[in-house]
Amino acid sequence: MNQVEETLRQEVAKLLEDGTIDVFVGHEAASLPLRTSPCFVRSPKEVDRLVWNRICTSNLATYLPQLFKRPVGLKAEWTPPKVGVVAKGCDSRSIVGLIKEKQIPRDRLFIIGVGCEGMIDRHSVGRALGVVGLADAKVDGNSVQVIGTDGEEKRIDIADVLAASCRECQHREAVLSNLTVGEAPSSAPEVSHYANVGEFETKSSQERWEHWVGELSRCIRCYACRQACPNCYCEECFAEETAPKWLGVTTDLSDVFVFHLGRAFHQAGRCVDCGACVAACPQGIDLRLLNQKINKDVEELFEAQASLSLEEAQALSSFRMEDDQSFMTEP
Amino acid sequence: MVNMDQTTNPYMPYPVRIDQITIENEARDLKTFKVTFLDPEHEKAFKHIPGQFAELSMFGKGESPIGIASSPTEEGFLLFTVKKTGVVTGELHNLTEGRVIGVRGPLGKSYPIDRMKGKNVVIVGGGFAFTTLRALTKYMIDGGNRDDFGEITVIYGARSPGELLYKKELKEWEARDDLKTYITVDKGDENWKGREGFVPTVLEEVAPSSKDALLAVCGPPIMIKFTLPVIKKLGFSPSDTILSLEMRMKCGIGKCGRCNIGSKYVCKDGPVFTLEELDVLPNEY
Amino acid sequence: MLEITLDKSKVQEFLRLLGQSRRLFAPVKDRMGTKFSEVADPSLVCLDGLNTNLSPKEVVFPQWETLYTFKEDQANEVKLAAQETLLFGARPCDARALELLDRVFTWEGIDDPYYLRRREKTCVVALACNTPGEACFCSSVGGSPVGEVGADALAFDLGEQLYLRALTERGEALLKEASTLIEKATEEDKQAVQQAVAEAEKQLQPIPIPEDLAALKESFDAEIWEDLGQKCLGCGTCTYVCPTCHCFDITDETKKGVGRRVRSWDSCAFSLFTLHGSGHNPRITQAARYRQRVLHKFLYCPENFGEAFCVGCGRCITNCPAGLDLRAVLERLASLAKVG
Repeated sequence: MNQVEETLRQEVAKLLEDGTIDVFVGHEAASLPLRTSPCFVRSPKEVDRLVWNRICTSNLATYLPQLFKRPVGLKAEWTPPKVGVVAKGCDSRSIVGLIKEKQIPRDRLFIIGVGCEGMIDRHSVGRALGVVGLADAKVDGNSVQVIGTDGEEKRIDIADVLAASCRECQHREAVLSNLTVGEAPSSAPEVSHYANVGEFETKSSQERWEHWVGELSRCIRCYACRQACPNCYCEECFAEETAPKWLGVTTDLSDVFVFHLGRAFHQAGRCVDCGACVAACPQGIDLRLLNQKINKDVEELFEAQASLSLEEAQALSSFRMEDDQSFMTEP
Repeated sequence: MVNMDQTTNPYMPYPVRIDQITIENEARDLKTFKVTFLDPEHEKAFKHIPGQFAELSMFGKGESPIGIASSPTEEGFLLFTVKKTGVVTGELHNLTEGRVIGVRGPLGKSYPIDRMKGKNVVIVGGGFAFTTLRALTKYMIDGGNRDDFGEITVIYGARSPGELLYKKELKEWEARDDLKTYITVDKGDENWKGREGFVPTVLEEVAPSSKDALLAVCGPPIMIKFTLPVIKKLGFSPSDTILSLEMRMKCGIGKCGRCNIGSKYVCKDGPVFTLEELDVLPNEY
Repeated sequence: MLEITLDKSKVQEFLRLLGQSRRLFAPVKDRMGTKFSEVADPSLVCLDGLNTNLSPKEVVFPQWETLYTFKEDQANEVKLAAQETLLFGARPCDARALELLDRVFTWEGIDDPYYLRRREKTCVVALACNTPGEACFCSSVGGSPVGEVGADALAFDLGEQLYLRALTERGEALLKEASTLIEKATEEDKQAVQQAVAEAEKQLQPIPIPEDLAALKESFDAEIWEDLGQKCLGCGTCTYVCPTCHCFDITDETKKGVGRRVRSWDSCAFSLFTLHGSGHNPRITQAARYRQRVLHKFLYCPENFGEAFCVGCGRCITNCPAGLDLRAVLERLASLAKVG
């Protein structure tokens, strides 16, 4: 156990004991190596379930809106709970976004911010193993010791299997919190946060088309990306509407393109590049590239990044007279 | 050529023509469609028993599971009473006489006619859920069937007089002396001379005997909720209390996995269930 | 029935030969490990992966297919003749899953022609497992790493060569087509297989499975579902990667008066799965939806088909974005039975 984890557990125990919060949303170890699972701690006795390490990939903000919804069929009096949550930089930005979009109340939220040096992407580890499965893994300092199902051991630098969104992350501390645990992250990001987009933009039109056909033809319409995303909280997604019916349910390229492009546009100015969509996808599709391109456009057009502070409105929910209008065409 | 044989492809609908549309209520969102088969072979294959339903097909929109309101004794056509609720039923409501739609069926388990033979039958219906009960009633009183059944009691209510279905039939039934018909409305209007009262209340007043009797009840969830205790009080056993359920459906043949309550599929093990059968199923409907 | 060996160096030729008159579906390398793919070039086939990330159920039950087309009021059945297909390298769990799917798609005498016409033309050559996958538990749910159910032939990887055993007439006829490449299995080969069988079966740790159906019924109102429902994101990943999940949707698509009715994979985990037109939803919480998935597989299917609809492939566990582990759920349910 590390210092941050220990402090986190102590703080959460205190918060639960003195009634500051009713439930704490954190990460706990999952059964498979290099996996964590969200956990909901409601008693100080359970705080030992909480972990903090290099595999706390999930964006826990996704789990917050449901906690503030009145339980279905409940006839008795109900007040929304006071909810605590542990947040990395990206998680905290998602929380800011949800507060601004009125999905969660700021005054019933206790955010414990933690500095983050980036999380391990298990898909990258999987790729390093090739066809061999992952039998066990142990994070040790800046590397991870993996044992394949063939018995072979390998030591991999965490830097080599860092999630892509973490590699380009510009916000390694929580932007909003009630309490901070641990030290500020030491390393500065080595690459620009639109490095992947810049590189892609050098490709020809044909190359780009082929890339997206290759990526999106893998989609099986499981909606893991959407469900893992904190911004996707709509009770009826545009992809599920029947009147009007915007797209079909198949894995035809036209349907898949409309879904992913539609969802990416719905994220414009809101996506915080947490990488939850990429981590969730069972087919390992690089959705990030699409979202980052739109984020880049929004930043260039409106000088805005998503959800950095409660005070600023999201770029596409507000209008300023000086906004770029170069994209308007003459009628 | 089009293969429309449902024994080889249970997903293919039979084409039927809408011969007549009757608007059943003032709100005009309840219509009865009288349809005839384009192919007499299909008509022969479609032999249904009251209680069963069919998937009505609106090409381009989808299918909707609708109880068959006509009895098999009414030859040459089928009746479906449909409420305009969504995309598919909305489309159906836009159609005019002469248009062709698809019908897939008959599907599901019927009312237990064989168990009802030789017994008294009580029919309790509310609102627009009365459709398959009409089929059952007509079946029992039509032609040579009447002698197979004992006393027949029909209790049917709607929110207001305008909401009553099959007004013409109800008048005919009230005039008959081989069945007892009690029509009620929650609230009458200035022209209403009949009974006022909720269906469960009327059932309690009429108090049909549960001896040698089966009772079939169909209605909106709120009505069922208040009627079941009365049914129990009158002494009808759970195996003699018969309900018809609704569920979201797609395939209608027990394959798409959507309409189950526990291990039973409403499309194939239902929609007709006895209360005894429902009592062992999870409370998830 | 025929027992043969095939030198590994001849596997490509074997597949090329058999692929001349068939569609070949076999595992190939993929960024997620391996995946089943229609293969034109057998050199791409990779039998070294443990199991593919997605199941091969799409061979007989594709993610979507057209049921029929229509123009205005007229429907036209899509009567595409399915092609002869060789599904090569499916693990015994996946082959067994096909047999379970067969039961649903022929249930109570109603045959699903779309599923059956593909299934009837698919010859399954399964590949026994020498090593369990990351989350395998087939032997705990009535399966086996060397199981034969659902397969026309079973192959064993003996290192330098494959051993193949025909299980059905179709499997035997298939193997005989490659008579120039195969050799009759020797006693030594057969002993090596026995050894492999013993080794494979040893490696799986049994896990507790709730088999007391009455107790499972009682668990309907247990707290466990709320706990799990909190974590479940409500995506369709587990159902889509699962070899026995078969729920589907039927929707219409039109373009200028011409259209098609398609069926596509659907999931009981989706929030709108059971939403009525009236707005009523019998499974309105994620807890209720998660419970449906587990009880359908371990209670309702045993009640309807006599067996649980889970072959222990572990894909739902390795793919779940929320880290939910079905084995842990089953253990808790099994222990509830003991207490209650």
